[in-house]
Amino acid sequence: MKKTILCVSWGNKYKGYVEKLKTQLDKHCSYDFNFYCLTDNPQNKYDIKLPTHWDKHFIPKKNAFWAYRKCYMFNEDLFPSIKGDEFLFLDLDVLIHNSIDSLFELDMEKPWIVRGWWNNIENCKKNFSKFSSTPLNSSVIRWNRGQLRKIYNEINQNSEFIFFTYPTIDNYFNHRWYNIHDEESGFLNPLPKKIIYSWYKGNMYPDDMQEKVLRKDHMICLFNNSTKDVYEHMHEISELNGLY
Amino acid sequence: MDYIKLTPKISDDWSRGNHYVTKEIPWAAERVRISMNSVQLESKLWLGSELKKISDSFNSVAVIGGWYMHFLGYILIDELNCKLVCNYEIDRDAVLISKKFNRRHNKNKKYKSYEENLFMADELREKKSGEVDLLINTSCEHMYHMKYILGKHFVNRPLCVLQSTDYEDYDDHINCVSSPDELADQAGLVDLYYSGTKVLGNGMNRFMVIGK
Repeated sequence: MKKTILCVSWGNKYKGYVEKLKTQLDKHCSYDFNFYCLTDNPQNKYDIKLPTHWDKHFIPKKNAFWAYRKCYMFNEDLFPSIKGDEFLFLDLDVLIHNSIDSLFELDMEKPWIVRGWWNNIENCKKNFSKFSSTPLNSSVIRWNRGQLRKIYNEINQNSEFIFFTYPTIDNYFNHRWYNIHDEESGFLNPLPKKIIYSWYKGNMYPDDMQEKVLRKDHMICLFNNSTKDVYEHMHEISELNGLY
Repeated sequence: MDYIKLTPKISDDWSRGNHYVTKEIPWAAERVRISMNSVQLESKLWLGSELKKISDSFNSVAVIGGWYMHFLGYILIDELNCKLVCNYEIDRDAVLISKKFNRRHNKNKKYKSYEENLFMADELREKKSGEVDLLINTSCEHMYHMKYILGKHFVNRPLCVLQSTDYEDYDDHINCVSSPDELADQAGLVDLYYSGTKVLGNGMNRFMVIGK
């Protein structure tokens, strides 16, 4: 059966990114796959309309939990037109520069999420109750149909509390679905080292933390830059020209 | 209540607590130091003083987000003779550290601590001691409205002691209030036995309400 690759798009900030992502996937995934974009504004044949039932809990002033729309996909029943059982989600602003096939060859006893190995885990533990310094990053998530339904259900049943409390979905995942003290034992598995790194934060703490370096033997580069003041359009980074 | 009587037993527990942090959980050392500063003590002594005027006999106390519980454990158990104090904390490190600071009470089963988020939990972990008659949250600015927890877990409403602040400059102060009245309102308290504001040594306003 074909693999299922998803992205989520809303608003205008990432105009043009969906096609760029699809082009990268065509180049770096040798498995047959169906591609879908869950969006607030369906235009293309791969677009599927995002639900809106959590919009009422979103608090713009706090800007809390701003990427909540990603979590709709954890309930596949909301999207009957999506085919397949093996799901891979990718953020729009990622650079894929090697084959992603191995993401479909993981042991799927548990779902997988990006572990930002560039984080100092002791810092994450120190700041755990302050809802900051999460070691997780939801830019890439790999799961099989139904595996993340528990997360959707918890958000749906506790939306008022969750949307008020957690500054990001990564903090929420860290608090509720990961075990920062025993990283192999949580509900979410951390994706292994040396496949996904961050353009702005580095690769692995403490030995490989150089920023703005293309690591050619890795699979995916993320552009998470929460600590940077200036937003940089990833397609305009000169060092990355021609890689899309 | 103006001070803590630092007995040899308490000194021993706190010394062991600090040693445990240094050795086993060193990343928490700075947070533990902050938890023992003068304004933390001021707030807890204030709580002890006002609570003692209302009652000094509590059977089962639930503390929400009690952090390391050195000062509060002392006030509730050593000073107010509470029979059981149970601290519900989201931070595993705080759970472990608080048990060290309250070793004397943990050994005789007067102090317990669980890694639990009561906003999400289906039920209270500590039920053996019967109904909770006192609920304390001295960090309401860090979490959602107490009405939510009270409605979910405490059908027979206990006496509540709540503290918060209007100081919004910290990222983790996600729920500041502008007055004691707003704090009471967030918890749906109807009968208020105490409501007040204290300007702490660092200049920050601290609000406290006691009621049901």
